[in-house]
Amino acid sequence: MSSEVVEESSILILGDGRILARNVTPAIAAVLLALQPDNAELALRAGTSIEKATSSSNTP
Amino acid sequence: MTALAPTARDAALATLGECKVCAHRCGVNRLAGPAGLCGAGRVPRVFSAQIEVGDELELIPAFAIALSGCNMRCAFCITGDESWHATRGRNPDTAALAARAVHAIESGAVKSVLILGGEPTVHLPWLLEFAGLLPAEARLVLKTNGLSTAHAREFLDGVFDVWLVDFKFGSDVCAMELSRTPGYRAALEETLVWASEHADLIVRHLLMPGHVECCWKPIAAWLAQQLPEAKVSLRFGYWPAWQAERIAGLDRAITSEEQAHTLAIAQRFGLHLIP
Repeated sequence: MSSEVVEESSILILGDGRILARNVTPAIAAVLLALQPDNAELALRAGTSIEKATSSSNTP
Repeated sequence: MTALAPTARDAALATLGECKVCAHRCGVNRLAGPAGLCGAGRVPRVFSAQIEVGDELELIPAFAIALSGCNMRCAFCITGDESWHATRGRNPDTAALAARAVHAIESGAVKSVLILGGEPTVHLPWLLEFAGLLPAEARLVLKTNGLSTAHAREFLDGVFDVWLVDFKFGSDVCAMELSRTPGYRAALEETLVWASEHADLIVRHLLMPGHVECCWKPIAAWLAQQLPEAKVSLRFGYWPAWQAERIAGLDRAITSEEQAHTLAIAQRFGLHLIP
């Protein structure tokens, strides 16, 4: 097996707006956090603080 | 965790000649080629190896390595193709894979190395080989469906720091209907008690639609009585995957009411929930 394998994640957005994800990489966590900047647990997964996430989402 | 002698891997490999590493106890000769309910041979195939942050917070970021092949047939399996077919994925360059894991650890990119499947314990010799290539201080996590036998656990004792055990079904009826697994509860309970005594145990339950009363409630009751100190991780991210649509009621995500009811049961039984 190659030591370089393409990373893979999956996201499912439900009709009611809920977002489900599997094999969440740090990059995907960052994307999800951008969609839900007030989600504190997601902020931890994305490796940032909720304050930082909120701040960056307000950056022009 | 523990430095392993190469003989441990060799001894485990020899037992595949009459395989009894999981509760099915097929007794097939996996040294001759893929065989048994899991369809696995002597060496696993890897279908994913990457840094992930979706598991329990105390484990992440984790370098997650997913091995093809499983001894259950969960209709709703999120990795159904790879889990049901041990031939999916690629032959691992074990040394290169271990080098990636070591680099991730030493660079501070991950807290742990997580081995999952499919079901990793069916690949017992490889687990021992891989673990032996990691530094003793590496935090090694085994994500398992809990169907291992005492024979397999004897080899795994001291190898993994954390056993992350999926407690999927609260009843044998549901285990048969949804995953074609006989004797499920007894096998799970045996593994959970053992893991609580030999490693850091995390019990995970993925809530499934319509299975709060038949599955989660008896699981919560058993944990409260038998393993009241166990860390419990409730997962609400079920989505209909693989062959879920052939099982009535599994073709939807869970509702907010089911989630609230599940948490209320956990609180009633005083379970130690972790995020």
